[in-house]
Amino acid sequence: MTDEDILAGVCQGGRQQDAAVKALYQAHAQAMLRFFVHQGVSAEDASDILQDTLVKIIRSAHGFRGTGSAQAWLWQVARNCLLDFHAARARWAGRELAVDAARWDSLADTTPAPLACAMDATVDACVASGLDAFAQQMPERAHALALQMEGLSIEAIGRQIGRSAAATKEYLSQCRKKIQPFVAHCIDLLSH
Amino acid sequence: MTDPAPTPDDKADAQWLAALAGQPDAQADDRLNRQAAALRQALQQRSRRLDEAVPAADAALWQQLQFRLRREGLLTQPPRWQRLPAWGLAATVALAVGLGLQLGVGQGGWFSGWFNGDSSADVLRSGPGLQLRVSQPEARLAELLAGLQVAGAQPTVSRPGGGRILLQVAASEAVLSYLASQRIEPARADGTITLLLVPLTDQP
Repeated sequence: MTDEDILAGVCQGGRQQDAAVKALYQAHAQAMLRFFVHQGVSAEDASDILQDTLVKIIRSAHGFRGTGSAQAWLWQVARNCLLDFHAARARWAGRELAVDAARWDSLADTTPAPLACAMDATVDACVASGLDAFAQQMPERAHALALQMEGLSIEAIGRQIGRSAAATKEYLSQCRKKIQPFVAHCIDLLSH
Repeated sequence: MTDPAPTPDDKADAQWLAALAGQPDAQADDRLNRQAAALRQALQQRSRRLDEAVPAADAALWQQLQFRLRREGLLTQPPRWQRLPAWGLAATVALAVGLGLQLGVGQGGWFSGWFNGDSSADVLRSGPGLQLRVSQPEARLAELLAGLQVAGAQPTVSRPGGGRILLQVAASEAVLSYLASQRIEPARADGTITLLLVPLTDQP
């Protein structure tokens, strides 16, 4: 069953919808769970976001006009649900931060900066530490680089991050520049 | 219109991305290749670490999703006979025939109400455990055991008499989720869930 068939089946309702929902789960649930966890979400939250995503897909399947790829549309819904989750989290974090602002200020003076890995014994450890800091600040870009590392085509990466092939190329180029402040200094360790 | 000629920056990007994908260009700057290789290794380690945390899209998760979809009216509710596994259905039929012969049909026995169309839904009673008043305890038991097995549980079953069946199972997220899908919200005592299946004809 193609993604287009799945969305068409969902729109038909009844038994056909049930079969389409099962096919949707079988085709995309695992990949979406992986996507959410790789974006810094816990396993438990990933399961919740997956449920939200599939519910949203089923509710709004009739909104898919068939002008673009069904797969791209499905991943767009997944990304939107992830953004909703992060937005909700940010609202809660904002409240907690307001309460703990004074404590946070005192911690900021004593916590080492995330990039202070010049003392790391090896380049690998330095790069790993830099990547962690980068992924924390820019999880979407870290995920795009991971997809590139896995050898996916530009088109396949584009489907997951919701961009055209040309825009994905540009995005990856930007990712390279964005990660430099986090890892560029690590290579200097080689000459020492 | 033709694409503009690639700049040195474009070339470095392409070489860096190729090296990140495990295909370094021998003509590329050594530092560029070494940085991409180190980052590739870090990305691989991070990816493996994260993959270990990815939950499995298994039967339990599918069951949770089905429960939510049914609750929101997005999935049809299959008839009960379809939810009963084949061996459970066979056991039910055998039990029905056996009980029918023993109790007699149409003599005010247990089956008379059933054949008259008394297909009451399960009735829940609270208590130290949870009493589930059902028309066919053995059939319901077979259904629950099948579901609990899928949820990875190993329930214990005993029969205190009077057609009653005592089912005990360790409480886990998967078990609670399955029971929720059956509209059963049991109380937990010391991490154990106790369900007592009571025939509908048995007065409390």
